[in-house]
Amino acid sequence: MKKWHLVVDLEKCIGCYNCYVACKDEYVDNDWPKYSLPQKRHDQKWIDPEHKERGQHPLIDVTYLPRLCMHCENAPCVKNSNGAIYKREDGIVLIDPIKAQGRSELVKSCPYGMISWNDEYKVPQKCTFCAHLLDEGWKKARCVQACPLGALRMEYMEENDFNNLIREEKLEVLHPEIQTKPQVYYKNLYRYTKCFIAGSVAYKKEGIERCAEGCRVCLLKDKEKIIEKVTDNYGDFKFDGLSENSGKYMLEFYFNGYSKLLKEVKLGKSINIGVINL
Amino acid sequence: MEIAKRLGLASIYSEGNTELDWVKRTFDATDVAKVMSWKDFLRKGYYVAEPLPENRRDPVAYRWYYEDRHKDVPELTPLPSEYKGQWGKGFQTQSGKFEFECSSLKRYDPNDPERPVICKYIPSWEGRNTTELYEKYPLQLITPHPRYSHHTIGDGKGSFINDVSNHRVLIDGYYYWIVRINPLDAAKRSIKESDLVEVFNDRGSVICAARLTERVPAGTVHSYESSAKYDPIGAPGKSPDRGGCMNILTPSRMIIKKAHGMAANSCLVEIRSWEGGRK
Repeated sequence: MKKWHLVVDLEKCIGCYNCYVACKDEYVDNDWPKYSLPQKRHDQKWIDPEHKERGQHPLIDVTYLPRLCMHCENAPCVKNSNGAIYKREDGIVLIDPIKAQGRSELVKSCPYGMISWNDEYKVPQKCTFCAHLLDEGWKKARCVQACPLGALRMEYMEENDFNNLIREEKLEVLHPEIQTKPQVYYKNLYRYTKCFIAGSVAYKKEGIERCAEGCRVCLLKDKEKIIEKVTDNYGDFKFDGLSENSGKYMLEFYFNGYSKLLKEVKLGKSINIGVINL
Repeated sequence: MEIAKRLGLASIYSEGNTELDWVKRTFDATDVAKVMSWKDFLRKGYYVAEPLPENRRDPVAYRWYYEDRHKDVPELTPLPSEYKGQWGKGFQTQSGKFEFECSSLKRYDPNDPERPVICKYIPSWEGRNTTELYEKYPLQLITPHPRYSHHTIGDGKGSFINDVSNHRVLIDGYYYWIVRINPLDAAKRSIKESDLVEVFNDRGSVICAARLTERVPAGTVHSYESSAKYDPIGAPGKSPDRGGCMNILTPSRMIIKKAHGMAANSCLVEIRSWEGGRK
């Protein structure tokens, strides 16, 4: 049985919010019988890009993580709903707009916090993967269609094929510890969950500070080398994918004509250690 | 095709062809049909077209000038003033050449201190070097076009763009405009994320929600212009605006006296926490 999956690439998302606007356009003031009642104009976000910054000026990066219903395999909302929320064979989790009438307690059943209460129609609501469109033969939901950078994509696949894709593209789920087996996957999730150590290397020549391009920088943890990088033409380096609060690291700098330099870094959140003068 | 079918005009509209028939007809009309058969094309699924020979490629901008040829890039409305001397040769400058020293300015006003004939740095009349003002208002405000609304279109007026978390922030039932400030500057002023703040200078004051961000360096603050809402809390023009009209703060003068260009980014402000009027 083929199932619908959504894949979000965090390296491609620039936070334009087109997905959010397309979702509002599809659902605000529009009733899709059997699928959903209208979404509220305000106070509800069925898809919501959350933004996160890492590092300190000027070595920073910004990531947007679109959050939406995860359409879980073991959805706690389905279990707790007495049939008001159900999972279809194609993997889509839907809230029955009639059976769920007045069931405000269902809002709390989502561990990802993606069910919201519509006080106008007295019904809990969430992303439907645009099931009313997919059932008519559409190949993608409105948010996916509106994404100008292809950061969102939908895959209608057998489980085996999708498992291959997970391996090939190193896809991850958000909060795997919840163990609900989401059908929404993220690519390059490290941009949201991991942190980095970055900095710039400089040297003095004829009294002028210059960028140390081509400086070898080694990252060590417990005296063991983890990785080595070479600074770019601005003298910048960046070690990404490190765990938050992972403690002490040692940086070693090697540059032609200069003696080796050491610098200890204690890693809490992403850090720009500033300019290292050789 | 689907619409034509529903109107009962499908066969007339498609000239009796199926979708695949149309693909073949289009295929036959191209040069690909000369190099591979329809069957081979279906089997392979694609054809990589070779690049055009050098002499048929699009001209490179300004290469005509570099090689001292006639201008060969498309031009919609060629006018005599576009060229110096011979038709189709030289730039629009009065010398017809690339100018480091601007000959038209030399003729117009060579001694204008605000606009010298050679590009050079001039300390701003409202910036770090205007000591007295800078002491009073030590933050430089930049106000580019907004990212999530088109000028004022889409902002305010109950639009759901208001709910975009990087556009406005909902505090106590009111959608406030955002001012972005470096955490170092915010700490000095005891400002926390999403605090209401008053951005002000001698021209006026605007109440915004603070967004602490490393995307602006310390000493600079950022907020978009083009708020669609002017909502003074007291007498219009004499009280703080909580709609978010940052252009209340920016100078209305021109960047120089002898040209028309706005000077919105030469603007100094100070920011302080705002408690007044907050429920």
